[in-house]
Amino acid sequence: MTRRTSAAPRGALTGILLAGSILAGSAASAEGPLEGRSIRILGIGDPVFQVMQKIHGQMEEMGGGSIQLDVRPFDVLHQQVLLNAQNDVSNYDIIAVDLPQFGEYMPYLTDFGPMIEASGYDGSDFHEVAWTGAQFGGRQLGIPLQPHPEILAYRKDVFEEYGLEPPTTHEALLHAAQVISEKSDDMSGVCWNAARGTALGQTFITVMGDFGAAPIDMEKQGDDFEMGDIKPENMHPTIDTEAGKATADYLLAMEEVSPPGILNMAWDERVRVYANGGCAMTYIWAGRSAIFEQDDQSPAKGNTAYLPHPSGPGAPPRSTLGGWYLAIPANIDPERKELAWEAIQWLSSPEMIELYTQHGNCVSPRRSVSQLENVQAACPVIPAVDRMAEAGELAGWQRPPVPEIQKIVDVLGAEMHQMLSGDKSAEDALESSQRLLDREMRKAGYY
Amino acid sequence: MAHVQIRNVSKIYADGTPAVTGLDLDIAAGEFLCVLGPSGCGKSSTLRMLAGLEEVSTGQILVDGDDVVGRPARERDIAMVFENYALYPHLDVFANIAMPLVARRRPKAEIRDRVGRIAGTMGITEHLAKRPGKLSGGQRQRVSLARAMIRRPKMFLMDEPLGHLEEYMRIELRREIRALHEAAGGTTFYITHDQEEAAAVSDRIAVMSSGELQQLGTMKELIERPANRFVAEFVGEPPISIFEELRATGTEVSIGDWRLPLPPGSRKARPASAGVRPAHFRIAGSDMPGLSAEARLVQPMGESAAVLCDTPAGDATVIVPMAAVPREGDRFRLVAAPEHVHFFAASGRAIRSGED
Amino acid sequence: MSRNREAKRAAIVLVSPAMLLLFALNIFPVLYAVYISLHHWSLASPNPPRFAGLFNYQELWYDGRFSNSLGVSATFIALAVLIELALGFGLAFLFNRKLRGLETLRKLSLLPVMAMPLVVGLVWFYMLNQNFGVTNWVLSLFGIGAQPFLTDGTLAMLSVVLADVWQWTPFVMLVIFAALQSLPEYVFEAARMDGLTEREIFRRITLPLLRPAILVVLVIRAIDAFRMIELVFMMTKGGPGGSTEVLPWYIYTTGFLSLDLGYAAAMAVVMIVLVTLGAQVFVRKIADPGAA
Ligand SMILES: Nc1ncnc2c1ncn2[C@@H]1O[C@H](COP(=O)(O)OP(=O)(O)OP(=O)(O)O)[C@@H](O)[C@H]1O
Ligand SMILES: [Mg+2]
Repeated sequence: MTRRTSAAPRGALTGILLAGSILAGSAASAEGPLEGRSIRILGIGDPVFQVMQKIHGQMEEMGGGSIQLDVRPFDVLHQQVLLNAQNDVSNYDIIAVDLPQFGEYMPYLTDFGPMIEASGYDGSDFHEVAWTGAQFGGRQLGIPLQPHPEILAYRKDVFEEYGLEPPTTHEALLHAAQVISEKSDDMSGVCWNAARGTALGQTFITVMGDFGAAPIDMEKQGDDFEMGDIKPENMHPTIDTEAGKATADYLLAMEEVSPPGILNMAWDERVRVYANGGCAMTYIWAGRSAIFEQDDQSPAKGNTAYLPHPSGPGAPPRSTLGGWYLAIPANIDPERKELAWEAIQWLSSPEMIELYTQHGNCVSPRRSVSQLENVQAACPVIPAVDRMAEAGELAGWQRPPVPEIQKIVDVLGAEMHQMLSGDKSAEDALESSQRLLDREMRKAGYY
Repeated sequence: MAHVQIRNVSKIYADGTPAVTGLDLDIAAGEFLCVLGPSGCGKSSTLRMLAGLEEVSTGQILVDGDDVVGRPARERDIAMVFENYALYPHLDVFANIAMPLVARRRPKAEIRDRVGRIAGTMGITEHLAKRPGKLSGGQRQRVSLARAMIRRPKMFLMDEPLGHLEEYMRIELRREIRALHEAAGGTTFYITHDQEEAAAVSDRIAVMSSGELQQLGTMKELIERPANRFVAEFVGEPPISIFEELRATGTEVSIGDWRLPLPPGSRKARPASAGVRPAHFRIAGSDMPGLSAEARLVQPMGESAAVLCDTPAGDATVIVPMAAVPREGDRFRLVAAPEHVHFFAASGRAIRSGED
Repeated sequence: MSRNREAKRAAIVLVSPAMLLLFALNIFPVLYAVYISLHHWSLASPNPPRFAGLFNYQELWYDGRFSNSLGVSATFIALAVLIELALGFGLAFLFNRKLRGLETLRKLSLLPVMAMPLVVGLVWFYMLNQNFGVTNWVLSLFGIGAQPFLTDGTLAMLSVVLADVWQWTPFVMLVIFAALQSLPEYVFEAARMDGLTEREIFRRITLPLLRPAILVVLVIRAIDAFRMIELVFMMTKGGPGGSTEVLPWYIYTTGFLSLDLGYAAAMAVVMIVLVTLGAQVFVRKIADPGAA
């Protein structure tokens, strides 16, 4: 009797609790780092945030709070971050920042330094280059979430079939592409971003990096450039140079061994065409390799090897590091700062990074995660990128973190497209890019 | 000039409305034919079939012996005046009138000349530069007439061309139309509501009702020898007096207390009603044989007056010269010559002497 | 006297809300654009906007990309609107026949108008794409080799025009069809009686009577085509070279990608001026049909 009477109130209590948890999202199970609170994130339509959208329910349960995730296209995100920075109080607790955007966002971001110190946070599990990529003037402005390089993927099986060497240099790539285009009926040599605008502009500066050159006149530091302290006199464009000319020539040479419609090819299409066996090589942001590595239908699955960006003559291989960091807006409500920090630690924790790799985001900035067998199985690119990171082959200076970077990309994306479509000679395109950017820098008042 | 034969023509519209039924009409070359009939009787439909704007459902239309059914309107050499003017709203009056000549590629100078002349005739010279939208109804009608009469076609088709004009203008223009008809030597098919106008301009008049031809003849014939009760009632002003209650006895028939000999044709069909035109009644003394009547209402009409009377056979109207007008309440008898008393069979057909 | 003044005051009171609304909705944004265009104003730069005078406008004068985009826009408008008008016209006449089955067909033909331009651009991008587009596959069935629909200067322009034509011809058709239906039948009967041939009727009667409708649809379509950005964004990004870079797309990349608001605003102001001037000409023609 007593047992039965006590059972009833307990059942009722569970019912109330359950109802409460439904009402407040997963707030009631305040186990996770969010402790029943709600976090607001402004993200990008790239694999890692798309994964978060896909497993949103699971993540809310794990986090023990509600997650408001606004995913925006690149341009819109850029705009919203800047507009949000004008507000008195930020509308978001966490924003996604692309590596080259730190220069532009610097005044609008919170320094993680004091928080790292206070909580004894250890960033040493991250790749050195990924961790320090977000350091500016001694301040840590972002925590790596999905930093990954643009590298080259190629079909081992096809190269073996034709007895070709791995395409580690421009020369080797062009030769291999030539052979494959000639011998194969429906496979072209190489896929790359040649679509007008941002796609081609980015290609230009990353390829320029293959020659050990940056688009503006930065201080050299060994094989790399000093990025922490870019001064006005470093802002002179360096497009109409030998490296620029070599870059233009390489793009023109690649155009010859590219699939049809290359002039309209961009990020999504190049990976899709490669995944369908339309080309033997493709430049690729490493994280996107999940598209074919996790697709049983693709002939590229399991047949792909990864190399750093092939280099030009006499230059060391350098792959452009990019990708997404988590950052806290400077104008965040101070009351929410601690919560944001907790959430970022959680979102970039080894467990979560591992979880993302299993759902189509082949990026791991953490050594500990890269070692995991299931991670390596789902994403063969991860150990390859790890090796490049260890060898110091990843760098960010190809896209200097200055506010004018998008302008540089835009001008190059327009001018070089004229060159590729035969409207302009390489010399003219280089000369007018140089002139336009020079004007732009003067307009901005650098010199 | 065209000899037009309409043979057993019927028109049934797509929605099933029978507008014209078994129409037979023979219009002589150069004839001016008026069509009279109540609204909706199929006048416009007939005209539009002649024009080639409406398909003929069954039957033939012969122009000078050629069957024109199926021939496009522009090949029929016809000028038409529409009931609703049908002017070109985007062109000025000059261009509207000139259109038939422009279509025939006449030289500019000739066009200017002829448009100027017809515009003068119609009294619209000062409006030549205006658009139709800025004209009054009467002015539009004159433009529409001018456009039709600028040519000398085989046939003129006019659908109530003077309906919207003032009285004096109508009288003047109908004279003009008649003169033009004569000058052009065309055949004219003219629809009107106005019997006086029909009488004034036409050679012959066709009376239609419910899509069927009732009678074809001159105004005099329609008045004096109406083919049926419908024509008798429809034509003539003021309307004929009709007596519904007849008593036939052997060789005689009585209308109220008025006894008349039976008409010769009545052997086959018994007369069911009779009619006498107000102008054919005379007033006689109460002692004379005739229809006893009492004047109820006197309507002066200028030199004469219409007197509405009560009679044992029903209402009757008589026209009396002003000098001899009775007073209201006066009693007298109405008499008429036997040939002016029209008898109708129950079907409405007129019963005539010499028809047995 | 005083009553007159009172009436005037009443008029002002009554009209002013409308004027304010007009100002807030129409005039203020334009003035603001003019204001921005007079500054070095970059969202990307942490520096506050600086007054620049007519600098941005002077830049326009020397900017080959700007003049190119004006030319491309003009070509695009001319091609798209003319083809849409011609096809729309033809279809309107076809549908004006009272044939069975046309009714349903007419309703179906309106589907493209309801589609979002971005989606239309995406669909055409995938159809014309050389690597996995269905168009080239269909061509190959007829033994025709793959065509560079989106990467050849001329073909790319024609492809964008094609997508626009696909989307907007039904609209043109609808407007002209409605206008045709409203033309009074009797005018055509009069023309037939007057002896005009079918072709003359078309030239002298139908066409002039449709003129207001044609002008209206022309203005609407031309302005709309001038503002078109989605198709270029989805299909070509302005390429190859700059052969499909219409003015709005250049404004977009300048203002929203490079975030150079001052310069983008200067271009937008020029665009507004051009649209307004162009529209004036047509509106005057519509308002005064006498100037035939
Ligand atoms: N296009 C049409 N479709 C269907 N029915 C029609 C059409 N035109 C006329 N009718 C019908 O045919 C009949 C005859 O019409 P019609 O216009 O010939 O008459 P009308 O004698 O000219 O009349 P009114 O004196 O009023 O002009 C009417 O009942 C009318 O409603
Ligand atoms: Mg009629």
